[in-house]
Amino acid sequence: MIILVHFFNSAEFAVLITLMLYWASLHIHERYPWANPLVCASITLVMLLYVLHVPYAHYRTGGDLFAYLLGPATVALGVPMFKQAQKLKGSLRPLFLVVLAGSIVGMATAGFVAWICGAPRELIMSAIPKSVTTPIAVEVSKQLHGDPRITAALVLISGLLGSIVGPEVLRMASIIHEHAVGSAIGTSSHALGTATLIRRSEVQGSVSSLAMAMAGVTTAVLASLLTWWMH
Amino acid sequence: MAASKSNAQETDGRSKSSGGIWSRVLQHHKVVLGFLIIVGFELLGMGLHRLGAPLPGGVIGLLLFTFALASEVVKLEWVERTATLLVRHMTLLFIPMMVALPQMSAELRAEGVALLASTVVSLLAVLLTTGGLAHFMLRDRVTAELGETNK
Repeated sequence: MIILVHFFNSAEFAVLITLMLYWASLHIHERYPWANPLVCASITLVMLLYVLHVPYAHYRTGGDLFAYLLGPATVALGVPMFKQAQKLKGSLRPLFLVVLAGSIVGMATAGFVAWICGAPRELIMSAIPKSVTTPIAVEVSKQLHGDPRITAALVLISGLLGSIVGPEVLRMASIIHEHAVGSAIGTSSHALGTATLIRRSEVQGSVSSLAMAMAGVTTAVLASLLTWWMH
Repeated sequence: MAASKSNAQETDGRSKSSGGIWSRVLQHHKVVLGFLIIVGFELLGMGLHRLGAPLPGGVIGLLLFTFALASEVVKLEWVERTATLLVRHMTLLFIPMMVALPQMSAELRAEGVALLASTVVSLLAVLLTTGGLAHFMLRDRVTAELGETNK
């Protein structure tokens, strides 16, 4: 029994179970596209750790391995960004301008609504970078003294909502142009929205992934200006 | 340094391209080389951040990496496999972060309405601003481009 407890509390078990659940949730996602792999894997993992009485601190010893790889993954975003930028050379400037406008509006409204609702400062700061891809949002959140975990959750909610209702909202506003849809979804719902668009249209998908990378960098720059201005 | 070495390996590989083992070995090297370059840029970004650059280290690394790709200091084929792997399976890297959420559920529940309202309002605002602006700004240009490709 004690041996089992040691086994469940080891870093190796944490890595193994995380990989296993991710792998399983990818297969579930292939079968049922509405089942988001991150949501499935995370909920199952939380329940499993609870049942096996593994405290979070022990799981972390192995889980941190994946958290570390977020850094290289952020840098690796340069490859899709570069590839899409080559494809869309002619429209880079207007695209950048709309993404800039969208990012400013996104940060301002997120912070403003949270402030109106009386959220404490840390939560307001956590909400501000929620439109961009998680690795960048997390870094920006840390920089603003927000809570990166809350930011990560909000990024996920934003991405899920955006990929489900985003195209519908745009259609109702009669924004149907492929580049317009791509840039709006990429700026507001990052990789999750982009993945949905790629299934609908290749043009929308590539505009969206470039907009997502641009929004990430733009938001990081704006957040730096914000911290500089607040001090 | 890394550049010339990889070039040598590639020509080497091409001359023996029919040999399965060679191409396989080279592919494995490419993943390592790609990882090396990517982590190198991350480290560079972190260093610049430490020295006082205002952006997060990862974002500086991303920008420098993209410029290196654009100026062909780094060739796409050296890093493409590693980068594609990292980006495609980025979801895996967030699972531990999600597991941390129940730890703070009390705090989240207390401010859940504020956070949800902020997320939904901001999402709609971004969608409509970006989409609306792009609708007006890109319309003519893209119609022209599409017209050209259709010819």
